[in-house]
Amino acid sequence: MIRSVAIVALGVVLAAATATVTVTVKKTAIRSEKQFFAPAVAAATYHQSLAVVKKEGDWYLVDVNGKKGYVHASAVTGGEEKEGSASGFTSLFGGEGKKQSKNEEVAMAGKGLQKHSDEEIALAGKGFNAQVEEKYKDKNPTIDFDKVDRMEKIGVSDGAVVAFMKEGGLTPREGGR
Amino acid sequence: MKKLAVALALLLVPAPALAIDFGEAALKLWEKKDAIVETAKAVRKGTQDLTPQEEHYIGRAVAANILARYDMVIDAERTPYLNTVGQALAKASDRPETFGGYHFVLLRADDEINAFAAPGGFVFITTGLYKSLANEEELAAVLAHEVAHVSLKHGLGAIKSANLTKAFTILGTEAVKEYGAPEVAQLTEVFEGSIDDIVNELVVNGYSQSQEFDADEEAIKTAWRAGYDPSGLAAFLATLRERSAHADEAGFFKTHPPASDRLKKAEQFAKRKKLAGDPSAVRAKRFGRYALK
Repeated sequence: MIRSVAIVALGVVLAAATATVTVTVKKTAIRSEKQFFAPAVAAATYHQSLAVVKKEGDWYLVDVNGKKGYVHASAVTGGEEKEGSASGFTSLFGGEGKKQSKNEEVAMAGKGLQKHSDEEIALAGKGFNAQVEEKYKDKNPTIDFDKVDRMEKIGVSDGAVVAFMKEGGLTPREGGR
Repeated sequence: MKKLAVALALLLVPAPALAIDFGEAALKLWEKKDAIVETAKAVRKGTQDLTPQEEHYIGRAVAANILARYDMVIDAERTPYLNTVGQALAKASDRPETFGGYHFVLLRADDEINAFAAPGGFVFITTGLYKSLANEEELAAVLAHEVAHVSLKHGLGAIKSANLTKAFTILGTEAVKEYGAPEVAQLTEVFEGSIDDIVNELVVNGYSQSQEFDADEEAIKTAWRAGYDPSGLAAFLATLRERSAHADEAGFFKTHPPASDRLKKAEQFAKRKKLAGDPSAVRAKRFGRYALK
């Protein structure tokens, strides 16, 4: 009986796993609309699993602790086979480009995890990582990573970019692919 | 991979059925899941199999090597300006998000027209190049070109296959997250070789002509999508053509295809794709505020 319950639970967990994507970037915003610079409703961090409601063009509508919002395909893995750069600009700033004209419902169960997802999740934190970088620094003491750290700290807020674009009359064009 | 598919298919059978028919088998497979995933992992072969996180660490080391050769310029005005233009373009690119995001800095080299992009999104342009720009459209074109090298993973493509094979072989035998000293030493050696491959390509040899042409096309599309006049690239290439006609300069001229060839292809591409826009007096004035004397 206990074993059956455990297996049922396992099945439920695994079935749910088919409807998730995993974050592959340090941090990303879950946005209220499928466009960059749209207000963030939540944040997600590296290796976080996000429950997928559906896929719309290059965006996934996900549920994060009850909050629904959009994450771009280039920030996650899983959900679909991914070759090369995940992308498509048609949806980046909203609007309904060619690829968005039909919403793609993500297969919710029964299809299994995709190749890329399996491998990337299995490899999280492995390979060329901080541990290897430390050793590399030891071997190459004249190469200064402090400057790289400073460079990585340079950031611009979404609000600043939006204001800058508005000031410069930059209206994103869609459907360019 | 077939084993993995079968295993996962079994594991994903609806729960009640699992409980009745496949209980023992499922439990055994669950116990072996790490080994199965390990098998999947071992099939990594090419640069496309590097994870975004690995790309990030490679990019950091390449960036550190570039910054060992040049002084980084960070000032209160141009650095935010460069990064704001850069972010607008990155989000319009084919790869808007990378592991650590895109970052843009100037390198102090007044006599050198050059730009680099390290994997993962570390973008550099020399003060010599910046000074040669006429307006924001041209700046956008240059930044979009470098973002395209990141998006198209041209830097990673410079890693020799022997180094990648070695890395994946070491990783394929190691399942733990923390490596022992021998594995770290081996991986570091391969890492070092991979960084050298990329730095040599970026700084010494340059990308192939076809990679540069591809990056030009991506740059035109990206600048256009972000709202810029995509003819900024052609305008900048025309300037380069003039400069290259009577100058024996290092850097860009040595590592890039002739500007005249790029200009011709860029104009043809924009015309074919009907990508056009209008220059903006507001943006021209804005660029003037950030000009380098």
